[in-house]
Amino acid sequence: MPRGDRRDILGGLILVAIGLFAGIHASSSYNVGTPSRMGPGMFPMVLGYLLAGLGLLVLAPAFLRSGALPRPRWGPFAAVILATLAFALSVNHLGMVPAIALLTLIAAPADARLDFRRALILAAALSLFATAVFHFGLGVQLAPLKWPF
Amino acid sequence: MDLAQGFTDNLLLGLSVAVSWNNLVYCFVGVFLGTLVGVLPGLGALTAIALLLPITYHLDPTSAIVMLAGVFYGSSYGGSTAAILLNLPGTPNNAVSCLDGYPMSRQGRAGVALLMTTVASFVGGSVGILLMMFFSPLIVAFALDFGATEYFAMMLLGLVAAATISSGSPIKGVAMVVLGVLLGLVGADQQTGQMRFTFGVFGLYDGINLIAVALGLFGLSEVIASAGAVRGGEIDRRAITFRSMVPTRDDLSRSRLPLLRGSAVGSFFGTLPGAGGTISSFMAYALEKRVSREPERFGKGAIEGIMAPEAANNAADQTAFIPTLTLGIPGNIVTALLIGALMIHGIVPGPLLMTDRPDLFWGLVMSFWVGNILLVLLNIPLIGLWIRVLAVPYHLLYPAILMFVCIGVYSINNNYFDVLVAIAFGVVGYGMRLLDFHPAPLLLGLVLGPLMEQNLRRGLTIARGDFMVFLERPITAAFLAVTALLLLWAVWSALRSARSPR
Repeated sequence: MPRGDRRDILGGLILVAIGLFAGIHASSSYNVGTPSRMGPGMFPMVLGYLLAGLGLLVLAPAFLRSGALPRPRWGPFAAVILATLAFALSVNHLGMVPAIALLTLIAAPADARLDFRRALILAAALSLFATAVFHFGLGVQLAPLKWPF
Repeated sequence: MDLAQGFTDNLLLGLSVAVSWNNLVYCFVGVFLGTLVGVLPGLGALTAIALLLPITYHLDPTSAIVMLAGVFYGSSYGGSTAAILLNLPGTPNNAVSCLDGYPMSRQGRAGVALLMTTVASFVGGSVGILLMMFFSPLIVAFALDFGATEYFAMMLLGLVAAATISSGSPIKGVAMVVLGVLLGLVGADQQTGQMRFTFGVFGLYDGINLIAVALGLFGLSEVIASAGAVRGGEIDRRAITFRSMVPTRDDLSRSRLPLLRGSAVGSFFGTLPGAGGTISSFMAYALEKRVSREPERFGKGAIEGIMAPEAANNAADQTAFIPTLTLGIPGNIVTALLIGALMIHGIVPGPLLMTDRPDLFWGLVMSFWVGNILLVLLNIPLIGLWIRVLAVPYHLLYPAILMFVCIGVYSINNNYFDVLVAIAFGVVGYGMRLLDFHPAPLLLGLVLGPLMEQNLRRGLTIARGDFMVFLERPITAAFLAVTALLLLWAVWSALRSARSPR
């Protein structure tokens, strides 16, 4: 007796959830109108329910198969997300160079070959490159260094 | 003959645009960067184009597209280098070239492989460009009669085709398209001004930024999946001399027909939405193996095994522009981004593009010739440069990629909110990888969604609310019929998957 394709069950459930949310929100918050005179809510509502229906089509056959849940690579995932978040939240307050340094140092643990010393050197090199190319070369409105106090 | 005269007029116009100093420089920059990202595994044409898009805002639209297109087809030239030398494809288009390219380099024939794949890429690209030159005016002439319902039905067909034809479960692909269209609706509704799905977040009032989504969904999720993972074989440090590149007569005679077959396969599949260089190269390889009198040679360094796929993927790269520029239907993510870039410059892609902006259209087509010639020059004499580039290890590369993504997205609006959007889609993209959903249909839906709604509304308004108009107009009905068939196939395929694992 197959125990269910866990991966597609999860995928299907997510689709159904998003679809229902979109459909219900669109029909209740926006003017739906009639099919011949479509309001802003009609298209999203139909699409939302359609997505939910497609989710069911993914979900239903999954119960009749077996499959395991995939295993995320939590280490690299956390490193990359936290690193880029650090950049996004610090770049306006501290400037481009510190943001790049934070980005590189937090992302480094994702790969064993990038030890702290190498990461520091890489951060310096990237900061130099970014300042030269983006700030001076392309005129991007990103200050290399900002004093927050 | 008036038609021929008009045609040569267009070619001359295009040539004059393509060889202007400006466009020559941008073309060179484009194909150079394209080869660079093609050579580097882990960094693709898509990321590079998405990063360059904000920079092109200040450029003339023709120059912008010339450069971005150069990155696109240039990457297929460079990708074969890594495939042959490292057994790691630089881009997915070149994955098949590993099968016979790497054995060739182990036999000491890397030089020949590198030279011949460049030749194959040039031949394939040329065939694609020729087809584009001759068929585009015909398609445009046909499509000029299109009304709003035809546009809607055609976009719908394009999206559904892209969702179902490309790899993976068709029903999941359609789901991704629908999700993409929904995401495209976030922001102000063009017709009524109603804010949709913004939930009071100011950064969403203008909609979800296409580049942030593209870079997050593809760039960031790729880094998450690859950082710290094991890489391919070592490069043979022996220098690749020019003498070692000379092919034998046997090589040349074996390559002739695979070149033609590969170009044909690639040209055909390149025009289909959802199919592109990757499928084309696989198909070309399979075809060669099937028609070969010595199929056992394949996988052990058979030159046919690299000539056909390389010709195919470059032909596909060029013909992918046919539906994009004549109908406004993107066949893959890159052309979707290019359409996005055109829209930002105020140019609406579609059949009118050729008549409204012949300088852009034909300038771009002729720039393909310029670009392909430049690429041959870049890939053969400068091969030593690319081999050195290949030596950069991924653990030094991925923080750089993250930096490019962050700064690139930030520079669009000088707003860190967009970077947060990119990060969010990085999470979504990684989740999608794990759950086996493909991101390309989502991006296509995001680009085309608002246009589809516009055309649907316009069509219904013109028909005064009568839905039968979709069945009464023959072209619309034809598009919808094919769409329905594809959808039926997707549903049937989903139900059938209950029996056995996909």
